[in-house]
Amino acid sequence: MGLSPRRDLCVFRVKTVGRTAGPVSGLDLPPMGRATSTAIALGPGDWLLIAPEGRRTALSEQLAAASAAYAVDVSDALVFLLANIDPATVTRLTGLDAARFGRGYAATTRLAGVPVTFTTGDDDRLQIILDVSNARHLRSYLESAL
Amino acid sequence: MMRLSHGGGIDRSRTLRFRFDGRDYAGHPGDTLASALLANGVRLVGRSFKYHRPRGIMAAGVEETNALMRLGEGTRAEPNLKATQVPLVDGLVAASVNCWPSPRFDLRAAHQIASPLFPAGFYYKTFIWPAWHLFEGPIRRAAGLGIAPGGPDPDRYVHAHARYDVVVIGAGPAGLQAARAAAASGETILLVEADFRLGGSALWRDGFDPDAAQVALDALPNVTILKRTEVFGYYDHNALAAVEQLEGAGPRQRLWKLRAGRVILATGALERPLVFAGNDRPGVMLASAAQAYARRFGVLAGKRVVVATNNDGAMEAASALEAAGAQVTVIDSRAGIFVTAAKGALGVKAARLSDGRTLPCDLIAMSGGWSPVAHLFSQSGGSLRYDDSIHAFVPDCAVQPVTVVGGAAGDLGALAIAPVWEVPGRGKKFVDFANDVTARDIAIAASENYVSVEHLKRYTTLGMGPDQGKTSNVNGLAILGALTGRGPQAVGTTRFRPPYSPVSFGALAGPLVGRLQRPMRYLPAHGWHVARGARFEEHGPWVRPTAYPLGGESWEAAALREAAMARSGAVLFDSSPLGKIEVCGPDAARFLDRIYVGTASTLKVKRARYGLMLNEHGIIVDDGVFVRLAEDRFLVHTTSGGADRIAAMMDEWLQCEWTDLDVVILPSTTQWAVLTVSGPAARDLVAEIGIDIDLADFRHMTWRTGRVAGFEARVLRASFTGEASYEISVGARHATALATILHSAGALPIGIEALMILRTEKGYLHIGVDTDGTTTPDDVGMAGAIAGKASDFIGRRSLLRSEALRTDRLQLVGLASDSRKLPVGAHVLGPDRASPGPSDGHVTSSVDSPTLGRPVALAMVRRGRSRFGETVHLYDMGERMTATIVDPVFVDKAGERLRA
Repeated sequence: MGLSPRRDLCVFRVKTVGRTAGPVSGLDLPPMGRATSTAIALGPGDWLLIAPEGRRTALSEQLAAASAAYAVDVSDALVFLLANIDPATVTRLTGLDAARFGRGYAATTRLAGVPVTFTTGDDDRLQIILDVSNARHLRSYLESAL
Repeated sequence: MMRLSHGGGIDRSRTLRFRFDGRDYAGHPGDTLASALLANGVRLVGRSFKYHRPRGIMAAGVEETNALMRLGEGTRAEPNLKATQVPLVDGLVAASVNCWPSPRFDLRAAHQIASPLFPAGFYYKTFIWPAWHLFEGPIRRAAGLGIAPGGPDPDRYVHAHARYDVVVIGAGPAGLQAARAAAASGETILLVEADFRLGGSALWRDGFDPDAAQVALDALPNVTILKRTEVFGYYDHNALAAVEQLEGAGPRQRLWKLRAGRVILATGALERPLVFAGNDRPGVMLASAAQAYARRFGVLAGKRVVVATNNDGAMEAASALEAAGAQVTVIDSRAGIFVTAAKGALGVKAARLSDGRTLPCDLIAMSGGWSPVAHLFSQSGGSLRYDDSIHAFVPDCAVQPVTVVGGAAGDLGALAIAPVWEVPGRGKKFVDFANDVTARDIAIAASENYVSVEHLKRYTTLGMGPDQGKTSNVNGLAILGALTGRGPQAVGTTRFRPPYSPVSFGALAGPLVGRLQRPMRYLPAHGWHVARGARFEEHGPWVRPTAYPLGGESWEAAALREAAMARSGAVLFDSSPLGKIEVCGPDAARFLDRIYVGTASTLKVKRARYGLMLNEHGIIVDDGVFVRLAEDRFLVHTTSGGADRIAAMMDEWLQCEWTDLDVVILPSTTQWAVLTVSGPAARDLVAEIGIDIDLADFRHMTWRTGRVAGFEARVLRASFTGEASYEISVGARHATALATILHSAGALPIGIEALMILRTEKGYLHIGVDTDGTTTPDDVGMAGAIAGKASDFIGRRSLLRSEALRTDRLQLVGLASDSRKLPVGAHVLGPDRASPGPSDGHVTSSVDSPTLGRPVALAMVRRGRSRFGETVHLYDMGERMTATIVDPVFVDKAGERLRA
């Protein structure tokens, strides 16, 4: 099984105040459970925004201008692992319905005791998103669990 | 016993070699260990649980209670497997359990002589004085099952999840038909079977072709079949747990966590034993088992067979055995004649009848009726009812989407049973073979008023252990009913609970064992610390450097050296795990006012403040420094171990209690690597590596952003060492580069142990070490801010309770000792200095101070702050010592060093 991290990503976590997942001006954010190539919905009013590192400044300015939203840079906190794992294996490991992390969708669960988000990229490759400090643990787990 | 020349589902063209109790035998593919043993004439296979009575194979499937085996050798050995469920493979090694040196000559068979002394519940009445624990070890060794292998289990176990529209449990005729019918709808179907072959009773009975049924199912793309997989638990929301036995070089077992739209239980029915004297002797077998051995495995379990029955079901077995060449005599209790006893010591030699006759035989095939396997239905929450037509409990009202079919539903054909729950006569009549529970034990329980079936179970162990009531339940409760004048329906059954059959700990644990048992997190510069020779330890979820010993140096000596350097030069501490949570929104300051004992709303931008966090009971749960980044944005530093917990707690308060506040919680702990430079030379060192922040205008507890050594950085002036400190936060990807630069500039890396020395010298609190689940802010001398705080905060009301206001509470103090380092946990003795006696507190932190050249300690002592100067006596592990109560700040009370 191959796991390779995506490099040179700029990632922000964005939350809206007011606890409503309503539209945020200036940002194209998907609804709950959905994902695009530039944004992943993690929960109510909670997203990851993703861009190439070269767009960091532009994205920061866009976030600064967005109303009713706050963001923190998590580019170094998260790792995006491109995984050569078929969806059925993920279902077997997690119990997630494969449709929930297929293209256009994202699903968050706990795997090996740590929070992970599964989504599928434009190239139909599975992405596993997790805290960078847990990456070593997850790799070891996947070696033992399959 | 003999192998028949033809018939059965075994492959006679191939021979498999196996070893049992040190002797070599042969069998064939398609055999179980049990059938192969019987084919080789082995009828004595073990000893019983309590009395060490000789036991033989009684059944042919999951209901086996006697033939428990230890399989394999060394650390791979697994005890207590049922020989009836173990497929024979070449090279298999098996051994009896619970006997020594062998089943034939077992020294502990002496228990049989003393058996009148230990009937049911004997250990509740004896071995009480002076203490049960004195006897517990020998008793547990004398009775019991197999012994777990020593050493770590080298095998691998995996877990798997799956969802199906329909899960069919049991692949006998009813299950196979149900699966095929359900598959016609196009739904996804999982068929689960514990056996290594599909077919269930059709493997040894006529009327249904299991192979044809399997071929039909194999052709259906929406049907998945799992063999050698036993469903052992049925939980809420149609969740099922099953263990699959795997073969080959990979994992040994797979634990399935299944979700089903609906469940079809086709678990069949199990034949019950008859309860007569000596019914546990080797050579006494369930009639259906004898039939199964003859028809499925081509093994005749006896040549002279007495079939003892109370129903028509056993007639089929009698015919099958006769057809296989046995001489068969049927003793039907419905005709008024009973088998009252089995004669023979290590094997049956004759059956004694109620009319006085004795029939020589080598096999008694008994049938006391049939019990639908309703365990999983009961686990699902369904109720059972007693069916008078078959004299057994059957599934009644379901509470989950579950259907029961076939024998499990009570569809047993024309049984025509006239139950005989206990055959008259003297001798040990076993009801629960697995736990050596006899009919007399049930009578004892009833006479002592354990008349509830639940009490009966606990008093006698009836239905516990490997049996789980499979063969014993109905007989046991019916006997109890007869003794108490109640019918079986009135007595009822116990609630069946998982597991239906024993499950290995390995399967339950799965892959999360050893180094994976707990997720461990690694610092962004972990490799750099490794290269510096760090010794690592687990601190909460983090793997962190304890110290950096040099050339044979002990870690203790290294920590002292590192702490001394922090007081004289500049050191580098990796604080990256420090919790970092950004609290944002128009109401962020109001929110933090409620979270912290301290006040956030009065804090100016770019300033920092120390705060305590309490729970609703007023108990300290965390501490840290919070920084105001902007009017509507704060950075909250929590303890390293508390980051995730505190972020979750904050979100819970926002979502559940303070929905009026416009605030969001944004954790960012691992975004930033925090490298703290501390010591009298820290400022010069930071200046040397290049910083665009004006250090002359950078006071303690303030915050700046800028570039440090070329990296975009956030810098906080806060200290946990008591020295001037610069907490430099850079993107985690730059951790190693910045650490290298700082080290090259002369910052000595220090580990957690040195930090603990430094903060103890300074009297700084370590949450969870100096505090416990009773500590309030006043206990640690930090109640000053509370009186002046206008707004409410979590735990404030609890600080007004009489318990919190008691004047004799434990208070944080220092302890000075000239002689030796005080042990952490040592108790401060009360006024009478008695030990054991009342404790006046305890040592919470203790170090050898390199700054002072003597040991210092922190302690929680009763009325401690009013006792400065008093000499107290301490006690720990048999040793006594003395110390003087002093102020907890041993170094730089005025704080001049950290403000430098």
